Amino acid sequence: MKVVALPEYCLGCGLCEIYCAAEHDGWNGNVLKAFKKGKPVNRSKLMGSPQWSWLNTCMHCNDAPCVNGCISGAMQRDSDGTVFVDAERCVGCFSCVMLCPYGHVRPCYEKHQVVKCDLCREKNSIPACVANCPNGALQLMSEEVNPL
Amino acid sequence: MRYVVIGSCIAAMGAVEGIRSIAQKGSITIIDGEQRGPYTRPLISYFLARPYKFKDISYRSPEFLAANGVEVIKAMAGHINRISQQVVLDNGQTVPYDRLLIAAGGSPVIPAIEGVEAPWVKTFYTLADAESLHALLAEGQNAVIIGSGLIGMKAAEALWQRGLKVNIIEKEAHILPRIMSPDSAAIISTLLNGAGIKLRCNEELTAIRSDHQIEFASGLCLHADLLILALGTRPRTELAAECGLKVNKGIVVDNYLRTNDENIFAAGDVIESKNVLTGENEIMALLPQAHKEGYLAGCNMAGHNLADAGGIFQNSVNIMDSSICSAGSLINAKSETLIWQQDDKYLELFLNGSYLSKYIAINLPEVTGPLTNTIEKQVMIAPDGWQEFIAAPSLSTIPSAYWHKIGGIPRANTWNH
Ligand SMILES: Cc1cc2nc3c(=O)[nH]c(=O)nc-3n(C[C@H](O)[C@H](O)[C@H](O)COP(=O)(O)OP(=O)(O)OC[C@H]3O[C@@H](n4cnc5c(N)ncnc54)[C@H](O)[C@@H]3O)c2cc1C
Repeated sequence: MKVVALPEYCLGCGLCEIYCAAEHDGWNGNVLKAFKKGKPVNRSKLMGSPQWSWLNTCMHCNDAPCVNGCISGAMQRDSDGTVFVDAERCVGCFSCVMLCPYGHVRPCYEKHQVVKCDLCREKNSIPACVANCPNGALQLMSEEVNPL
Repeated sequence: MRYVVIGSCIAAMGAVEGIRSIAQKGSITIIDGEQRGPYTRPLISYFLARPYKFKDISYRSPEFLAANGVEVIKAMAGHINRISQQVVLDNGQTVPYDRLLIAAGGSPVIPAIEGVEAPWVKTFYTLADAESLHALLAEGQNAVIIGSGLIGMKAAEALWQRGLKVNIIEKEAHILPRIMSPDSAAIISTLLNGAGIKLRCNEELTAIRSDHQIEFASGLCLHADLLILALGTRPRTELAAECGLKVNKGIVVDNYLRTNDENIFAAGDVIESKNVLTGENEIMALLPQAHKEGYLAGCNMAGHNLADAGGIFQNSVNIMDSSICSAGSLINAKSETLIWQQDDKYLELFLNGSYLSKYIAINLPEVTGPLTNTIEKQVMIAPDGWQEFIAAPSLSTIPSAYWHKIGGIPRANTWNH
């Protein structure tokens, strides 16, 4: 599974980033609390220019270069095929950042780690970005991706 | 089917994953000569810097081995008998195989000079090396590191973090000579000097004296409480050569990671890999490459025919809180270079017409994923695309030809903002 961005519907409003951030690091989707009490970190990032925008999310590639190239074993694939990073093991070497063809895996300098989309795997329902996109610009799809 | 793997680190774990992606049946036996389980070599510097935080640097867990039905034998393989298809261990035990993988890695280069045996002279390659340094070092000591490649730099950083006085000696004209350009190396040199780490380039080690004096060709003489030899690594090909497998600088394999014996495969630092940019076989000694080769070899041992396209040099490393990413090779001395610099960030691109052949990025990891892939997949991008990118490098300014090539993502928006 992966979230696919449809730039033709994207308004660039950024709600995806906000709900993504609030879904992680134990904030449980509580936007008010997350942004009042902490500095929540979004996994997927809105990209674009004044002319267009799209959410840069993880393709959860089949032969994922980030999983293959992880020097610590932190970057893994779960039994559903979702690629996620085990924060306990990530040492922040950024090898995965250097290897991600989509530029999706990002450094998080405060934590000395990387962050990426995990399809909100701990939430057990559709990813927060998809659920909260007001214009249907994000869709959950099952099509497989092989990088290039 | 009996799958046997010599070596138990990165390529070996890739092979277990490859074999089990295809065959649930068949036994997998790993011969672990180092007897430390599947750990990750790059993390030995993390261990040395913070031994209490990085006590466990395993690459795959015991549960992983159990779940994949892997039997581990803690012994060195001493000989391969290709006729009887057996590995003979140092303890005399024999291990029969149907398919064998040699994933024996490399070993550090030790110069042929007197004094290298002294207990205060060390290499930095194994967890045991890091543990013995941990036991030996004391704050305030003088450490001299010979070689400023990645291993030397990570050793230097760890010893500096432990409070030693650190000197780095390089034979070439600047540090990290295989990765950096003179300009980019100067940025890192300034950073190291600022932290009190002393660098000396154009110096070649000639003698190690028993009174802890180290001599160099120029006449320079330094005192060292600890001396680290980080002069590079070479593949451990003895086992393969001795049983008649084809060996050049590393074990020679075909595109399917097969040696000249159809039942024996090899992967990781022990082989020569194809550099896709030059088309030449080279020793690449990189963890992502070792894992990928191990994985493909495993699939092929289990009966598939997956070709390895080769790889490119690529590295991401943090030194003194600065990120250094680099990928590719200088395939043409006349490459055009484009440089961008702002505050502590630096990006240098090496172009061959419409192709990117190498980049060096300091404190700018976020743009490097697409750049690495542009090089590895040789994506054609018109030079003016690079000119626009280098004016303000970011993910959003990556030339759109790249995004089109990798499929789909941003098309022009029909909405007017
Ligand atoms: C300090 C350091 C930092 C590094 N940092 C990076 C980095 O940041 N990025 C990167 O890409 N790469 C890095 N590397 C390189 C990376 O560690 C190697 O590319 C990788 O470990 C290769 O994996 P391998 O499985 O081929 O070999 P190895 O990891 O070397 O494993 C081979 C194993 O086989 C064993 N063996 C050898 N002969 C026998 C025998 N006869 N019988 C039984 N067992 C045997 C060895 O003892 C060893 O345990 C670093 C290396 C070092 C030393």
